[in-house]
Amino acid sequence: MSHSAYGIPISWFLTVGALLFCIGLFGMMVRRSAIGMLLSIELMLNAANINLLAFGSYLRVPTIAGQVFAIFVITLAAAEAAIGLAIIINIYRLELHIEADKITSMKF
Amino acid sequence: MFIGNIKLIAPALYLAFAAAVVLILGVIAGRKPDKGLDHWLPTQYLAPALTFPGVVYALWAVLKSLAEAGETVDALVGSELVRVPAVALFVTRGGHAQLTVDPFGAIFTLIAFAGTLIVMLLSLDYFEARQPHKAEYYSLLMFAAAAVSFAAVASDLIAIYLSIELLSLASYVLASFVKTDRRSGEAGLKYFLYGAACSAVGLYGMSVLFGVTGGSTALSAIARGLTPSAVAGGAAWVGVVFTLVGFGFKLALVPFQFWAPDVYQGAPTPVTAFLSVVSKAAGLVVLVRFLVTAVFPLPPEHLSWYWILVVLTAAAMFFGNLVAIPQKNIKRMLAYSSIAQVGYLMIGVLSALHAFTGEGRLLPGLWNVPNALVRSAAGVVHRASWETPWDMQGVIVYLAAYLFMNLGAFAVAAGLGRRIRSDAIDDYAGMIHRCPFLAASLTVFLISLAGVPPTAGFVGKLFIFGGAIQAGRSHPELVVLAVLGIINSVISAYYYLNVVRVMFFAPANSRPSFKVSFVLNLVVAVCLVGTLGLVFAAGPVVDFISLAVCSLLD
Repeated sequence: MSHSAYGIPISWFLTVGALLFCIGLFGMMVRRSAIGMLLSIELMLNAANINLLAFGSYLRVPTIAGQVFAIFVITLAAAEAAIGLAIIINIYRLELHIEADKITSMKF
Repeated sequence: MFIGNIKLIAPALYLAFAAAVVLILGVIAGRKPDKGLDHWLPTQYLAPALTFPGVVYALWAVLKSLAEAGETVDALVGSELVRVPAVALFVTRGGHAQLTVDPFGAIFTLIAFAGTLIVMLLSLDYFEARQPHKAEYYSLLMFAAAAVSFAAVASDLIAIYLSIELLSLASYVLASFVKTDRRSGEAGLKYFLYGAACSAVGLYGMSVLFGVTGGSTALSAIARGLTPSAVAGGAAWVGVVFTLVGFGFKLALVPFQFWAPDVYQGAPTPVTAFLSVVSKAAGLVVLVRFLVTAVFPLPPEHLSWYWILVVLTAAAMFFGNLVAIPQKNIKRMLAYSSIAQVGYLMIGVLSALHAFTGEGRLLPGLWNVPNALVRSAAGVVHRASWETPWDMQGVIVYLAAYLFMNLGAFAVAAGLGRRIRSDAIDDYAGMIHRCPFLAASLTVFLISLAGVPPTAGFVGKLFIFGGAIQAGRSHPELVVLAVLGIINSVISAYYYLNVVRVMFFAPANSRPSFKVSFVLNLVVAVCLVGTLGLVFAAGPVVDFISLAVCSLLD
């Protein structure tokens, strides 16, 4: 599973995927705005998509399963963004900001 | 592709269809409130009425699945003929089932549907009849229950991911459902951000697993790909651990519990009850199936994630119980208590896993049927002795007990919280005089959560700890976990009984007594019957399940 007809090793794709995932994870930790966190989550989902597509076409027996999985993930990411933005808009109406670390109405 | 007996997942399909009906009728009725459709067919009564047949249907599916669990059928997949179990659905090439409706999954479906029905009745009392968007609320609950049902039988990464995400998306909306309440909004936001991030991590793990095991999404195919040499590379380790992060979040397993207290406190109380029981059951069943089918067939020396789980189990019990002690809010206290309860459940899971490892690698057990039987057609199956046949049943018994006692506790918290307009434990002072039935019931539920006989919680803990000690003959760490569990039960008794002390002995300052609605009394009574009745039912039920397990082995 090293080279395909394109001459690009799979490790390149996997590296891009891993970098994208790390950027997303880093963004999730340092971002304070809920929108920024949502974007970071999308990056992580797309990192998984790159992995799925690369593995699907580079394996010894190429399989369609990776692409099918990726299409489901894209669909779910869209649904997740819609619900996430709705929740964020609701928070904006209540709090007039979307800084996730400043929303602390509950303490024990 | 071989479709299989589609009737076995009919309860889930029925509930999803019913949810769509409720949603559409609600939208039509919502255009003209107070007259016409909503007057004759109120959504809040229609939804439970449609869910009840689903519960009966799920019970039928359990019996059907028990009857068919040991049988096999010859399936034509592509051009090859493979022998697959009768409970396998959507079998792809190589004999890998995408859904496996084994008794384990079917029983979880029943638990999820029963729990959802109780939550719906609780919502009837909690929200006024004039609750806005009630059709959306009830249909989301039904969609979430259908998602749990699919998750319970999913034995393929795509099916697992989709069903868990459907459950999550519904739960995010439910948690933030009271749009005017800042706490509810905050609960929804936190649940969404942490949940989406953890599920993205889990998805990345799945994508790695998909690659390193040779490009199949079926759990039984991943089990074949996870050879010791594949694991030695380290990529498979990343894949398994990241995937477990995604499942651990739903289960609120330490260290992925950080969302639970805020979400449980902020969400409307019926939704909290749903999250703490039904949603958690989904996380548990997916975790168990992933571990048993895909990961644990490996020889034990490669199981570094097993030791991680052992440590997390102990950490969950201590963290949940110790942090619950100083809590002032009953919902927050129950949140930490449910984190600890996951620890007890995990002891049961870990001790049952050993039936599937080592010699039992190809064991035709209750859960990894497809893999094992396909191989037996090739004549290479090894049957291990089934030393602890009641371990996974311990998990089921404990979860059934947890269903009744935790839903009961939240039902009382919801009913009292709405009437005294407070969730503070101190405001429960003298509740035994103000509302004797609810206070006495809450006492029973809390005693059961602490594991004191004669309650369901005691029976569940007896099974869990007994199973751990029995499996501990060859795995001493399980005995340690059981001892830690018993110590934790004592710790937990302190804060559970503190609530009882406040209700019985703290002065009420002559606050008025009050009556509660019929439906709330009904919900509490059902939970009470379950909590006390399971003590007597546990014996016959376990005999029944043992019979099913034994019929598998013959």
